[in-house]
Amino acid sequence: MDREKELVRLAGRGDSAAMRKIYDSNVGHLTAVCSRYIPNDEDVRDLLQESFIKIFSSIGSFDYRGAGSLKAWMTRVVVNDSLRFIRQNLHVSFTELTDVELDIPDEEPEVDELPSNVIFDCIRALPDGYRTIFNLSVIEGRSHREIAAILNIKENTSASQLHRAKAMLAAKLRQYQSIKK
Amino acid sequence: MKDKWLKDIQNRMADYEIAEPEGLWDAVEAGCKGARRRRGIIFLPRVRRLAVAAAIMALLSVGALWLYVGSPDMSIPDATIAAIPQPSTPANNLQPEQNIDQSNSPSKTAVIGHVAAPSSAVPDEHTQVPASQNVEISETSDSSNSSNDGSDFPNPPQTKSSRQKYYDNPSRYIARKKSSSPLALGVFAFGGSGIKSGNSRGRDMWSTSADKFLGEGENPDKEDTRVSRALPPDYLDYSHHLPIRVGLTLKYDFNSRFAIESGLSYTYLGSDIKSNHTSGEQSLHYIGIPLNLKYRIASWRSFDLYASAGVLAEKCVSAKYSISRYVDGQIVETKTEQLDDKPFQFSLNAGAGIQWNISPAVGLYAEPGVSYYFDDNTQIKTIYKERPLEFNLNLGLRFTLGSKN
Repeated sequence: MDREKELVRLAGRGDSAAMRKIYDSNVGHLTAVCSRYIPNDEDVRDLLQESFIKIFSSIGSFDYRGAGSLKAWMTRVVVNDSLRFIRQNLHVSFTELTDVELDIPDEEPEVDELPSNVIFDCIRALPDGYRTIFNLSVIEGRSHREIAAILNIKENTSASQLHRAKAMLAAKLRQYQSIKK
Repeated sequence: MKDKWLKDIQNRMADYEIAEPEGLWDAVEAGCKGARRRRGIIFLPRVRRLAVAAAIMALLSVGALWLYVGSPDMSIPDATIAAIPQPSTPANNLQPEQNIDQSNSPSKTAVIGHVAAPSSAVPDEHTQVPASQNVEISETSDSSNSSNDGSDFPNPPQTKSSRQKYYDNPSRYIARKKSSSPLALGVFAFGGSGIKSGNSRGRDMWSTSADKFLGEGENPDKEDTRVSRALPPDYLDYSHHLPIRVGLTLKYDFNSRFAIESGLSYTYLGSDIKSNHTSGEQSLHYIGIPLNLKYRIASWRSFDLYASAGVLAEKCVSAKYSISRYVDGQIVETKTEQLDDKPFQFSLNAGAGIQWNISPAVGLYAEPGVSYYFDDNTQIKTIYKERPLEFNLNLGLRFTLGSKN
């Protein structure tokens, strides 16, 4: 990925064309990442703007380490900014929701048949707490200990919230599938 | 629940993309510019960056002048450089120099035109660097002494001279003839002897060689006088000025590390010739082709560190001298000759440089290096014969052309 490395180097020197190319290659993915965390499109736009400015301001000292390293770094920036936004603006409550008895079926949903945008929309439609923990755990691969530190909650809160998040998502997906049939 | 579906979801979301928010890029671009302005010097707008570059060069030339004036035994004969308004009064430059141009983009880079750096006596306005020209100031540690008092003790060490390149500036010759003070734009101290060559017993030789001098032009068919006709008389003392060089280079980047550069250069070597009752000048013009390999060692933000090595092959295309004999202060006769021998001049060079890329197209660099000039196997006296190995420091601007692929 010498070409990407070259773009990174040029962008570090303030080359607009290089920055634009990096932006174009990554904006689609980063918009999706941010939108998975933040449900409101306006908020997503504002946050992405901040993230990109932050990225391009510090890309000069970014250490390029091969294909995928740039994308991973940019994603990390967006995820962290999204989490900060959620903490400050969404006032997410991570307390256990005990009022709803979730029906937890035995079978896993069949994801292969589902279009990606359906999966995405269903994740995005989850309540804030479930959604955040689902994203951090399933998509980002964080452990409950890490999530607990990031969100300032207890580890077992994270675990049980995840359990419920998965159940709710599975239910939504199954609902979509049954509508489709 | 088993987790296969979660893995699938993770994989699907890893590459999932949706449409970007409208107007996001414009907002990002505007925000970046604002951030850059706030950040300061590295992201200055173009004009200010060039002004900074010009200011740096002005400072350096002032510093050089201070160094020069401060060194003992240097006289500054003609301060007529100051009268020349051109931005390039390089009093003396030597050394074929490769225009090392290092651009970090995988595009072709050309260094076009050189505007000489200000000379010692020239005030700041001459350091303006127009955006469309390249400026290269290189300093060599050759001492070119302009005090022609006929004594042969060595000049004091430091004459740093700066090399300046002209482009399309016909009056540079005038400037150079009048100026005999070396420039001291130097950061390098090189201990060395003076560059006077030739026989210091000019006084005695003159009378016995008078006939030779006068009679040289009169036996064109004679084999043995042909050589003496071709060169100025042996007994004269030479005071070499530093070379002036202009050139055009093109650099091709193989990859992000290596580049090769070639081009065309023109070098002017001038010397004052003197003896007790004789004075004159020798001028040699060379056309050369440099060939350099560049290696980019590292980059950090807008700085590049690179190494360079290469050769310069020059051919003398014109060589002549003109000497006048004086009696009681009046010119009695003048002789002008074209030298028959037009030799090749080869040199090797190596160095390292730092370039500050003040914009993607323009870079300011400093490049210390060393050059070695091979003997051209002729009797012609040049500064290279006096000092074949020299250290030099080049400062200049580089331009990048072409678009990135």
